[in-house]
Amino acid sequence: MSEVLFGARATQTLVGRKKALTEIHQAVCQAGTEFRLVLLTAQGGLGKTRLLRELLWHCGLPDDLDPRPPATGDDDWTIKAALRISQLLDFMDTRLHNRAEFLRAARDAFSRPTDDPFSTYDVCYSDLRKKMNAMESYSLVREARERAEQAFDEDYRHLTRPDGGQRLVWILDTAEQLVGYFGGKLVEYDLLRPEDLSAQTEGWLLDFIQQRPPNTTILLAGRGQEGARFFNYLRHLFSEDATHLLEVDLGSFDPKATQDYLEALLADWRDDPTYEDAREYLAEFLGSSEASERSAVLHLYTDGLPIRLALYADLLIESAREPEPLQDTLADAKARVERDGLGQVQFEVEGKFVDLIFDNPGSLRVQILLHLVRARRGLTPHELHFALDSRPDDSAQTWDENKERLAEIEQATVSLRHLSFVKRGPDGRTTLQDEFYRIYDEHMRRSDQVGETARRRTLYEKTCDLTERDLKKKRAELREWRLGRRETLSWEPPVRALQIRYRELAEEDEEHYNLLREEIMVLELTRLYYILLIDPRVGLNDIRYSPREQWQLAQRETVDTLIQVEMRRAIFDKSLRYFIDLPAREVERARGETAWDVLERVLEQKDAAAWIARLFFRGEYKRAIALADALAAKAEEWGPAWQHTFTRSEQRIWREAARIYLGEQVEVAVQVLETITQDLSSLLSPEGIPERGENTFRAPGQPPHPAALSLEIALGTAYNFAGYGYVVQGQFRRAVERYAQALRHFRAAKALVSASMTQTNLARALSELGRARRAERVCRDALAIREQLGEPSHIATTHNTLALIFNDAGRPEEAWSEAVLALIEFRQLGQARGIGLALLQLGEALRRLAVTPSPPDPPSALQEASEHALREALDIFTRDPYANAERLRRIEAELEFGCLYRDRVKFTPAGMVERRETRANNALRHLQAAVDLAEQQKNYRLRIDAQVNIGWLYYYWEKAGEANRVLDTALAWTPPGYTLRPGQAPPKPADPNLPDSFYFQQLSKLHTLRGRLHIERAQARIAALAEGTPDQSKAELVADAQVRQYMEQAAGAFVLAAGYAQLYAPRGVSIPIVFDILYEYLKTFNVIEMQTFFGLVRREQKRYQVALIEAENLADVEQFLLECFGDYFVGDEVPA
Amino acid sequence: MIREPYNADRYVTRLEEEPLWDWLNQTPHRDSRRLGTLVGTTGIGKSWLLAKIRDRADEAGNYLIFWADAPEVLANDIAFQNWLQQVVAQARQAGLTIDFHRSAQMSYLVRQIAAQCCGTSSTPARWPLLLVDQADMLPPEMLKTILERSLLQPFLQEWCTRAIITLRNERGLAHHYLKRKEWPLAVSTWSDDKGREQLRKRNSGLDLAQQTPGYEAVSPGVNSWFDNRFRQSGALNVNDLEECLRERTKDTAGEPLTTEAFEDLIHLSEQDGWTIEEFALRVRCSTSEAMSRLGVLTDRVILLGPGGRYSLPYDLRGLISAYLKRRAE
Repeated sequence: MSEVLFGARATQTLVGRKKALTEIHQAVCQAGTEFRLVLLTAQGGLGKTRLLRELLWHCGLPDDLDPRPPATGDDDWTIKAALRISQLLDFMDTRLHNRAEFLRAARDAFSRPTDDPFSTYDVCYSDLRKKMNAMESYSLVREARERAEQAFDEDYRHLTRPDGGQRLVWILDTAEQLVGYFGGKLVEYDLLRPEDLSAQTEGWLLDFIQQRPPNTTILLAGRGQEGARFFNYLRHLFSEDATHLLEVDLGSFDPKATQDYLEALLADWRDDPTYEDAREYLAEFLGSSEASERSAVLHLYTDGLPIRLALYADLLIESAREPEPLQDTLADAKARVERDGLGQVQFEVEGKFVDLIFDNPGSLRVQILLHLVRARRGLTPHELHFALDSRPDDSAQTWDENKERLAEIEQATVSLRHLSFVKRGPDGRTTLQDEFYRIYDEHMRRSDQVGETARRRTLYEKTCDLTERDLKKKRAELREWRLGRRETLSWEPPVRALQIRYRELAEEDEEHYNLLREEIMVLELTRLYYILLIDPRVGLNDIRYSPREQWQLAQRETVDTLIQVEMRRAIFDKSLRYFIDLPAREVERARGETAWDVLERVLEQKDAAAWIARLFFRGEYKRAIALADALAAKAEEWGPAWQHTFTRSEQRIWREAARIYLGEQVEVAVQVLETITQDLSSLLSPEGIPERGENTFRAPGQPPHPAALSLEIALGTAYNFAGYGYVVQGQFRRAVERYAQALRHFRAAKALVSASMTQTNLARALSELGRARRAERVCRDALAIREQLGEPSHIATTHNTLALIFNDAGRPEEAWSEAVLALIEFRQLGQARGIGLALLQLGEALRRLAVTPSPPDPPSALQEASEHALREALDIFTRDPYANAERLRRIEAELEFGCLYRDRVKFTPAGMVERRETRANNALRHLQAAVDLAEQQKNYRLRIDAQVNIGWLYYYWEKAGEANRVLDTALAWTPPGYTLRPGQAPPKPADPNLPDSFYFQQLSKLHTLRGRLHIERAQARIAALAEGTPDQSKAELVADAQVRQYMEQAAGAFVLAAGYAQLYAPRGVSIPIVFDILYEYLKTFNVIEMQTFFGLVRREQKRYQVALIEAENLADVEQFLLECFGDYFVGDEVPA
Repeated sequence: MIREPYNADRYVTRLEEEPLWDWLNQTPHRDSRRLGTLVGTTGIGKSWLLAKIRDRADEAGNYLIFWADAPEVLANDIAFQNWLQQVVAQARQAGLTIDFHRSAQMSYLVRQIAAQCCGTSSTPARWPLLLVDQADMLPPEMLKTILERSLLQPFLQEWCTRAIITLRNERGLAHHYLKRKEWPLAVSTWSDDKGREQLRKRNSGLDLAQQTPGYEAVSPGVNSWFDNRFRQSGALNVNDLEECLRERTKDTAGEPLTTEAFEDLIHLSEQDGWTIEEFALRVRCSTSEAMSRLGVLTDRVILLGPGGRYSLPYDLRGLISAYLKRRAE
């Protein structure tokens, strides 16, 4: 006998399923074009997948391990019916749970090497990929994506057209996996709507079935009990037209099928000398007078379960001694079952099977099997190689793969797949049939639970180690790839910024890139799964292993949902628990709970919060708020754990973030977030929250609460969104404080992705405060981290923030290229919001470049390029369904568009009256729209910003009166505390009662314009006087009361402009701007004018007491620490 | 181990003997389990037990006993034929009419002998009893073709026949028919006082507690080996213990353990019941290598316990313990 376990080989002939196969034949081959649904339900181990393979063989798609020749004659079902059957699509592969991935897989499953039935879809899909790779505008990408889905639909309709089409047969296995993972408790309580699940295959499939497409048979196989909700819903759908629904419920084998199975085994071995002994044994068995009785005993003990029969048969053939129960007569067997119970008898026999495995430790097949049986997620040959062949001291980092050995393992793994309990899993993994896991687990649980727990831990740790190494390697590879790609970037002058592209990818390169990203995702999921098995508390709480936020931030919901699936698989699979050493914590015991009770609940709670977050990241802010509210209403019903501050806060954070993004009651939302940060901070303090009976998560001298890291993350997230709320309101100083705090907590939790996100946000806020250098430093740090991590959308976001910083700092020549880097990346990813944001920065950079002293391109051309960019941005933030809910962005786009037209007015020659009017009106329209939208949103920062810009527009439009009028309005909007008043002490920049520092910025701009208007009025008056009375002296002209008044007003305005600029940001660009403008006037002044102006300035400075302005000390190191890293001060006593 | 010829005076009664004798004395029928398999490790006393049963059966007078020392008489076709010729002669002596043709199929001949022995009446004159010692010392091919197919299976086809064979491990029989007929009996180490009784019967001056500290006299074969060596040299030293250990762990072909396997054995003696991973950690090797190394030992010495834990037989652990103690001295 050349190999062990050969007796459990799947038979070539299908046994005991003739009736089921005939029924399915009808549903597949019967004439007619109506839609048919086949539900093939059964418990595990009854042979659903085997039956599906048989069906595939009949339809010309045999499994590659099926040794039979292709079906011919009556066996070939495709002769009489026009059929096209899909390859087996197994929902064990969680990627198929995502609708887009599923459609792509379905296309592949229906295609053959020689023919391509989805040619329209393929063209559209290829076009979509091309557009994404060519970084076309997002609206084009979106259209291409929608077109691809439509094309699938069209191709499908064409293929299945009632006149002359084919019947398409979908073979979908393990359908029970499709349900339950996404919604959990939320679905159970109807808190999720069907459209919430629309991105999932489940939703698509239900829609598709409801449409009842003609010439279609969908065969859904799954465990009836586990998938009951799904299957029952389908039954309900067909309650009116039951003729279109075929239910095939696979029952147990009868005694005859049991004997048929053994005969089929014997037949398979007929011509193979390898199985001589087995053949002889079976021939004797079946030829003996007691054959039918022995088969009946086998049937009794296996309970008619084919998988169990395969194992028992193997045991009979291979083991040296027949297990005692299997030697029983039928009467004895019945008596034994009566006496001991069937479960006990099965346990006894199956124990022998486990012994049989352990008794052959030298066999590679056994070695592989003993690893596979401990890893329900399945193992790849690569993982098996490391698990089997690495020594205890070997680290994956230094591990060298042996190609020959790997090939040997691959070969052995393939040979194992011939066994009836071994399955092919996704990503080259090999898995086992559930019943086999159960048998082994049950045996080990009773015989050596402690030893088995340790063994599994060793395997999981090794697999994690290897995965960690592979992750590093793949990330480095991706980084290399990206660097190489960056080199293909053909830079153009700024005016052609929108045309800058990477070189178009060859299909092979594109495949490589996509594969790399896919591999990284799979590796992360693998690591998470095994971490969950090593220590579920760590897996659930340590964000390094469950970086959902990373994927959410990257708008890769597919991955986020897959993480959810992995978590649920690991936590809810009760059979895994026997071998995870997880004693209940003292508080859990005191509550009468097990550690698993708590973990299950925590996972439900995390999923609930994740759903709100998911809706938030989808841009469905209102829906996110509604779900959070619904959950809050349920909290009481679901028990005190759902009312815990931490749980409530986790949900509430996303709710308030949604409100901020919606622009609804931003102030209130920020206040709630502030309360949340206080509450969560209390839970980290030694006291906890005693009034609510909630203990601390970090008790001194004790190990931290398992969720302490999660709490740090939640706290960081709350601070982060509070920071963003302040940014929206223009309260950048507060924003900086909150971001820095967020950063501190993210660092504590080692949440690199979140930390780098917050750094990016912090950089933006620092930039707004005029700390350009500081902002750039922090932002470049974030960029370096993100380059390491390799997620393109994160890298793009940080490039975009760098562009913003450079724009704010008046460095458009650096800003535009950063914006381009962000833009091409977002285009490739097809992310509307990112594209819009990058276009805004690019538009602003190009606009600013046009007004630099030495523009790199003709200003008008730069402005035109800016206009193209801004138009697309405005379109995205106005019309794109995925980006238009964030109203703030639309206001910013309108504002920037207005500014562009305003600049174009400035540069339009006076003679081109009509063009100037058109441009001015355009500018006014956009700026006024910004004012109105900001008014609606109660966004006072953008309102006054737009209003002041309208003032400037009128100035360039030479409508001084209008300019003054709008400036008066802007001034009236300014709260009194922010203004410099004669004889009164100036406001303090860091006064906590004056958080809206943007007022200082806008007042500076406003008074600069005012100063300009006054000076020019003075100059105009002087010119008029000089023209009317040419003999007047310079002194007399300046002494004119009107001139004097204008000069006084101008001096006052510039003093105020500089004062406000200082209040806003002493090192910001506002002060230079004020002085640049002033300088241009002063250089034309004569001595008298200069003397007068000098004197007036000194007087105004005294009057407004600007010398008392407490400008910020930017050399304060402590302030620097606080702003860049957060508050780490723990008292004067420096920790050792 | 050196096989000592059976000596009735030195035989020590053991627990397995009576159940085996009782089984033998039950009236057989077609469906009864008529193949006794005595399974136990090297030197545990299977052959002496078998010989004792032979003596008792002989003494009882109602058995026609055919004895086969497997490595000697079943190792090839010629030896088998020669042995069969003796068996036929023995049967003829007992009054049975059996022709012997060298050209006849051996299995046919065996079946004929068995049939003749059982005769047509409900009680044969003498119950045919086949005793095969050291069955698994045969090369695997011979075990399958000669022992199983040509001897045991045809012999046991007749309702009145019984056979007893000795095996060192359970991986002996593959044939369906034999598995169905098997009545297994595990022969295990005996108690220390039985060991002392054995030494007394041998008139041994050996004081095991002094010479082999840690080893209790639980294995007859080891006890005999020690006694013989003690008689030669008057004392046992560490080399004797090592030699005994190597003898005890030879495989069925008489091959001693490799150095690595010998070291593994020493490691395995450190605790009772090893998981593969624990063993891999102990010997600093990969899981696969550990499994392969355990695989080498499972065929000879290792016992498989519950939950896939591997351990050494009790006598062997004691023997290693004594060896290590002496080595440490």
